[in-house]
Amino acid sequence: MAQKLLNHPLLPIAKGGSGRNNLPAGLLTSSNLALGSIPPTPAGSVLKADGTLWAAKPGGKILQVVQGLTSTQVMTNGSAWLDTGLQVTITPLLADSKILLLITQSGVIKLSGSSNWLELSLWRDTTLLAAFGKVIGYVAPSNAAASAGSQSGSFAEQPNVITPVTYRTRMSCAGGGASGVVVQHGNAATSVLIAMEVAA
Amino acid sequence: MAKRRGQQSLVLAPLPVGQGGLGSVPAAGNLLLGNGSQPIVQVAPPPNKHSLRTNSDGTAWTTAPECALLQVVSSSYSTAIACTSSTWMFAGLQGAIVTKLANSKILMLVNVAGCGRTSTVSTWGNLAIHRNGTSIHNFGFPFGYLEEPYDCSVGSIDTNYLDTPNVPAGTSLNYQLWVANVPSTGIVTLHWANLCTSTMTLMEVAA
Repeated sequence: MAQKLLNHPLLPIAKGGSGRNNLPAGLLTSSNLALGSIPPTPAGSVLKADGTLWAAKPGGKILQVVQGLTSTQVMTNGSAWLDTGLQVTITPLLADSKILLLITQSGVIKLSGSSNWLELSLWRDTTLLAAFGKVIGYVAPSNAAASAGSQSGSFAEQPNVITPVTYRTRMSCAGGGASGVVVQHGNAATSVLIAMEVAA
Repeated sequence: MAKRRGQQSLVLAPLPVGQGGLGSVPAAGNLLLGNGSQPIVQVAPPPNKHSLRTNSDGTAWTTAPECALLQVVSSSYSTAIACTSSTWMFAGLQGAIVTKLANSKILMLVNVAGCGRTSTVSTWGNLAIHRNGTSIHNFGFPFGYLEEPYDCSVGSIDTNYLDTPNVPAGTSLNYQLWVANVPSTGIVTLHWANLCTSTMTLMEVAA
């Protein structure tokens, strides 16, 4: 009997076989006649059910979200880039992910005394990614102090690593005058830097 | 008793693919992938917070980190607000979300439109987000501040914030925008002249 089974050209489902003489690429699915499969397309899909069938359907892309906060006031009257104290560190789960960054720099103000202005930028470690705030608080012809409240920006990039990556914002005082610029004014508002990992 | 040759082969060798078999004996708990004329490929359960998905070029199934974003809701408000007091007041913009999982985080994107102040030197605005009646995030301070007696508009003020409410699944969370006028000698305005719309987007992120 066993010898007879082995010599059979194709073991059917009814006898505990696949019912096929090859196995189609993809997830194997059961059937009354022969095993079927769910092929691995389209790219980036996940396995989902609609209550009746399993199928490859579009999958979500946001893998993780982390946040950095600071409320500590920082002031400068220099033109060199200075850390604002706002930073976030994320460790990508996948090497080809993108990191989407959402920035809110709060309590931005240009102090009185000269026609300076505040500039803000986003950095990955020591690499400048984007200057997201320019000429903030500039008032002409007056030298009055002024505040826009907060400045926001967003940026996406691909660091191509699965090791911790730190993003930070930096500030400078432009315009050549002597008065300063401030972020997180009076320690009274919170700046936020959010990093989201987006799968390829 | 001696086994017959056919019986022994059936026990020791998995039935080949070409004869309608799987080509190998699958371990318990694995997913099975077809592989043409070759034996099946087995996919063992991946680490926690992973799922099965197709790869980036659509050629194979693979395990990968699962999506953390569970739901998105949004709301808007465009009725003008005039704030004359240093006491915090509700600014009309609010959004509600019911958590799908325990300990989820809520990522919020808030755009406050039409922000400014009237022509009084010592007036500027302050903004905050409240969750179920408690202030959780202060931002925008001191918007509209200008050391001159002019009206001053700053357009829109945005903020993003990742809240960690630490609540069980099924919890209703209500987020509201509040505003205050500091030091309340003039008027701070939001949604100027009913001509612009503030928005709040809430996203549940799995813990």
